[in-house]
Amino acid sequence: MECNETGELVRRARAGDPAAWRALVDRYSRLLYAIARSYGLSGADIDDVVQTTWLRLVERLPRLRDPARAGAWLAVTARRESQAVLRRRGRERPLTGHTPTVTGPHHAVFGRELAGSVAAALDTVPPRCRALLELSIASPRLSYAEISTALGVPLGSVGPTRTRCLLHLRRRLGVA
Amino acid sequence: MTDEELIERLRGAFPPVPDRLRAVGLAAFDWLLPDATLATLAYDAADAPAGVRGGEPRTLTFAGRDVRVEIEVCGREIVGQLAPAADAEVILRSPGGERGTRTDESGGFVLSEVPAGLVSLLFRPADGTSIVTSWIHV
Repeated sequence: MECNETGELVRRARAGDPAAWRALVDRYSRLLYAIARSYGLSGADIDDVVQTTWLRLVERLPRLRDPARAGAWLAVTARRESQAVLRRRGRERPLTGHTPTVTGPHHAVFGRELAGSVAAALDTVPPRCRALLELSIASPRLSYAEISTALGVPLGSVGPTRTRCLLHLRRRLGVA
Repeated sequence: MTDEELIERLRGAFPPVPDRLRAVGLAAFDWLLPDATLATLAYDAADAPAGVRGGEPRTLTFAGRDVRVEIEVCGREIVGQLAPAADAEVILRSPGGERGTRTDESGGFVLSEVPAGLVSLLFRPADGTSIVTSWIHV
C-alpha cells in the first residue's frame, strides 16, 4: 500500500472530503477488525474499539502530524483501545485472568472446497501467523510498517514471518 | 502457486469485515470539527491505581491550548467547569446525537441523563471559537 496515498486521503478528508474519508474507512477497517479480535474481543467490544478508534482519528485529523502514517496511528490507537476495553471489563466484573489471543477459528460457509481446506489449514498455524495472514488479505494492501505496528513486532520481522507463515500453509495444503 | 494466489485463497477463510463496522467508521466523520481547539484527556481517576481511584464521582481533566475542562461523572450526571470561565454553549456529543446547555457565569455546567458509552463535550463561547474534548467512555 502506498503511504503517500494514505497521506493524500488524510489531507483531503481533513479538508472535509467525504469520499476521501470513505476510502480511509475501506482501507483500514480490516486492520481495526483484526486488531480487536487479536485481543480476544467479540461482539459489542469490537464495535466499541473500532468506533472509538475512528472517532479519535476524526478528533486528531485537523492536526495529525504525519498524515502518511495514519495507518500506523490507527493500529496503535486500536491496540490501546482494545486494552482499555479489557481494563473496563476487568473493573466491571473481575476476570479470571486474560491472555490476549487471536480469536478462535472461524468457518464461514464456503462454496469452494479449497476455501474449506484453506480454513482448516489456517487452524493449524500459530495465532501470530493467523493475525499476520489476516492483515495480508487487506485490500488495498497494508504496508509492512502498518502490519508491524498492528502486531507489535519489529518491522524487519514482518517479511520473513510472512514468508514462514505462507510456507507453513503451503505444506498443510500440499501445494508447492 | 504464487504468494499472491495463496493470499487470494486466504480471503475466503477469514470472516468478512461486518458492514456495521464500516458504518461506524463512516459515521465518525460527521463529528469532524476542523477549527475547534482540542482538549485532550490529561487525567482520569478511573485510570488511577485501585487504592486512589475510590469509586464515584469519577474526576477527569482535559487540557488544550489555553483551556482546561474539569468534570465529575456521577451516575448519569456530569458536573463540570470550563477554565478560564466563559459564557458558552455546552454541547454533549454522543454517537446517538447532541444535546446542549450553557455554562453559568463562573464557567460551571451540569448535564443530566448522560447516555452510557462514548461522549465528548463541545463548548462554543460567545467569541465564536470552539473547544472540544477527546471522546471518553462514561
